[in-house]
Amino acid sequence: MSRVKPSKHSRRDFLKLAAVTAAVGPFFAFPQRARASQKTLSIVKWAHFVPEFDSWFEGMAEDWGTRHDTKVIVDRVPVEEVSGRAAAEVKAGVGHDIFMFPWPPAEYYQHVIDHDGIYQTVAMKYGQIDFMGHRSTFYPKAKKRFAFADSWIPLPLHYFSDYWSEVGMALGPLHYDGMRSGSKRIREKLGIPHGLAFSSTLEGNITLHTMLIDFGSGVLNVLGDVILDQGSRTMAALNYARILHQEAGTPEQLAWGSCGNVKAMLARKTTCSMNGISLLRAAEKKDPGIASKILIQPPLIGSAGAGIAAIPHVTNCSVVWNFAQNQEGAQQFLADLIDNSKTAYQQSLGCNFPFFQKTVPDILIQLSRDSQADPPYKYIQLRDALHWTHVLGVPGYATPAFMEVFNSFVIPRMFQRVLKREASLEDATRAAAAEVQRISDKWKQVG
Amino acid sequence: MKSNRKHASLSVTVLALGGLLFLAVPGLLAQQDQPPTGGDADDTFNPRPCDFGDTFYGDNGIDVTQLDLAVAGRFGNFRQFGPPARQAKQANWVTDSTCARFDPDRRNVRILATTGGYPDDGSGTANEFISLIGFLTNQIDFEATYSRTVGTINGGLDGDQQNSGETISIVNSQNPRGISMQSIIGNFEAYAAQKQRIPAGQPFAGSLAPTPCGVNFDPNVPVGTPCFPVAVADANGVSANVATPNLRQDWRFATNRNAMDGSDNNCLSNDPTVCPGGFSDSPFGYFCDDLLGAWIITYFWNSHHAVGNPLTGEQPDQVQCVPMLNQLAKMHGKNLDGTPVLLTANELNFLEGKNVGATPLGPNFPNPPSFPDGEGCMQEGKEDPGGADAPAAVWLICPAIPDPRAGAIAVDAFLDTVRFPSGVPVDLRFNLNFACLQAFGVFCNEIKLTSSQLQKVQAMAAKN
Repeated sequence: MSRVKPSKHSRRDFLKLAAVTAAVGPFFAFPQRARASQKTLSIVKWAHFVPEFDSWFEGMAEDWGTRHDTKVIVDRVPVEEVSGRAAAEVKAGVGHDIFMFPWPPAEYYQHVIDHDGIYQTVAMKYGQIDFMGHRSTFYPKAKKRFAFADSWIPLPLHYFSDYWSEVGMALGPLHYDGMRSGSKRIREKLGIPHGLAFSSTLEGNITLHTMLIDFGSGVLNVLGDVILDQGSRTMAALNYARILHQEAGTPEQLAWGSCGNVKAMLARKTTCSMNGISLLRAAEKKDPGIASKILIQPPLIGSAGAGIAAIPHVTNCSVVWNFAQNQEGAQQFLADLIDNSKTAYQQSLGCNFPFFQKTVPDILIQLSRDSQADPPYKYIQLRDALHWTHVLGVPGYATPAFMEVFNSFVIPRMFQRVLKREASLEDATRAAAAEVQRISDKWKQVG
Repeated sequence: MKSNRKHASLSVTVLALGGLLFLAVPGLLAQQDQPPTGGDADDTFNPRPCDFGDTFYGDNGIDVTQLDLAVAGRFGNFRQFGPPARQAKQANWVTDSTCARFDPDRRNVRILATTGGYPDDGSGTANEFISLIGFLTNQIDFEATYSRTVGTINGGLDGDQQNSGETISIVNSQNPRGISMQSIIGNFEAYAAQKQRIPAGQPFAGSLAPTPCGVNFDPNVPVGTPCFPVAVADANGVSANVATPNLRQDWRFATNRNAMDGSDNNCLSNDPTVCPGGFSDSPFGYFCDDLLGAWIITYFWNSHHAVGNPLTGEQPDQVQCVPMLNQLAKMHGKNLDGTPVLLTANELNFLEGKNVGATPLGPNFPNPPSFPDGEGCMQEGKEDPGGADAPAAVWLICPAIPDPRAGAIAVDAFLDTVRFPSGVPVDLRFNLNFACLQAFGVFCNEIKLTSSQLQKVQAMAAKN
């Protein structure tokens, strides 16, 4: 005789189910209507030098979308196309909700929301953003936070220890004089050139802006005005680059495309380069044998009191356009992004240093025990990166005028004219200074 | 007779300066012990400078086998007599069994030669005193691999006190913090001013060479231009390019890069009202991380714009450099080459063509010099760290005396500063301070001298 199993559902359960069915049912019946009411968040980001990072980012963004009933679309653009893409979106007044730049996009400050609210939200959990992040995203004249910065990539010197050992510098060239004398001797002995980037690329830009700073010059004066110092220190930097190029460079260096310095190092065709550690990470992935020969050191010691200094390879800055469709979601996403800083640091293979330092409290430990590095403590050379990294726009802020100078490659073009013998030090400096002045005057009129 | 003239000249100068001191210095006499400071045991608590022990060098990344080579000229092994001592019987160092007793990291070699220098704080004061123990000429002077276990305990009652100890290690030239000694030292620059005047017997003797020889040879002057040598060794093979007899003026040292006392201008706030100069966080302090007190040497010299070029007949630039250098000479006097003395970083940077904000040369010189070849009136550079300039010193083992007061300057120590052939120092303030420190254990501006004390200081300053 069979027994009837008593029902486990009460009347109350039935009523609950009915209510839920009434609420959700239409979407089962008409799924396209469900999607139509779901929000969308579109993000465009510069393609990271570590491709695995972008894969992780897209997955993370999708998860965030699931939690926030939002369809998240992530587009990647190569670094060299970032400026054009951003300009096009601003011109059209239509674009992604979030635009992620590898530098401070100050020149768009009138086309973005004030990101102060995001900083306030994040500050409640992680404190204020650090000095470099603040100066990279705040425009004092407009009193506006024109971007939200979450991370940055330091710029150490990479060098092949075996090449430099050949001239007695197994510990690296240390300072600009050592770079010049060592490079010359390596070139004479092994025929291998130095690998500093001098072209109109992001790498060339950061290398040459760093060189200017290290020679006691720069595009900002001590009063904060955007003006290229036409004095001896700019020309000293130009003269140095001219001699270095003449003694230990190659013509193709002036024509390198994006990451040309990295490709040359990975092919062991150059002896050293200034770059984010994505260079070394790429070597570790491609050929551990090559990677083991690459060492990193803090930037070269400068002159005229400059000390040890470099600008960041990348300052990861996101903006929400003031014409973005989903501004609320964009701000929430960026605030929540900081919760993932530790993972972002790991997924970027240690490239992305956090601006909110509490998010990766064990960064020194991670630098000292890297599972992929040979030796494991190779990256500890970055321990003082926050000290020797100067904000783009040092000694002031990354202002619109400064960033337009940066993005129009005024400085690399000035160097190239000298290196190609198209102009004297003085003429190249004068022409660049005039260009900087025009940009500066334009922004003074904009206000 | 010649020697008497030298002393007479020095004495007159010291008396004159001492007189000023007597008139100008505010008194702290009421705060002093009576009789003068230095007479009590509690006034001599600061240790006198001694060389470090071999183990301490090893622990701090220096290869002692390299340091003990003649080229390094380590005090205790080499250079007991001769420069920097000016008298034949004056020792630069002596054996002293108290050294290791006061500080077990030291060996029993006490340094008598006390080199004067300016601090890098912009003040231009003559109050730094250092011990120039040895010279490093190549990266191989740094330890690549090192290991020593300390603190091991195997004993106690019943053998129950056991401790495996801690290992001080250097692997791939890096300490356990992941920092190489070379990297630490790279944060501390010592500014050396080598003589530029070409010695007798050489082409263009008596002229000023506009460029150093070696890797820093100025690419803006023609090949064959006379250069002042940087790869110099003395008769015993000791690196000698920055030995005092080869300097035109006294050193400047960045001892103020010390996070402990804030004198490195560290300011740890984003608030511009708190830190008008911006956030600054120096990673290393001189007395904190650079325990050997070592330095990387930055040489500075007058460029061809300032001194011309005897080979090409180029004359010193009369529009920019000569007036600026004259102004500097008015401010600080001249050195052994007859060029002006520089005291501060701003003065050097300005003359190198850097805009340093407020001009250090006064309102008549609002802008730094600028020339089409990218040089200023002065230049600076560092020696090749791979040894291409050997035996030139790239780094110095040259610890500053942390506090030269209260006994640190012993009665048998002597002052090593740059002097004119007459015996008169380029900067007498070192002599006076040294005398005050030696006699009373304080700087001269910390004491109001009685007439008898003043006489004592003057007499000592004239002799030291």
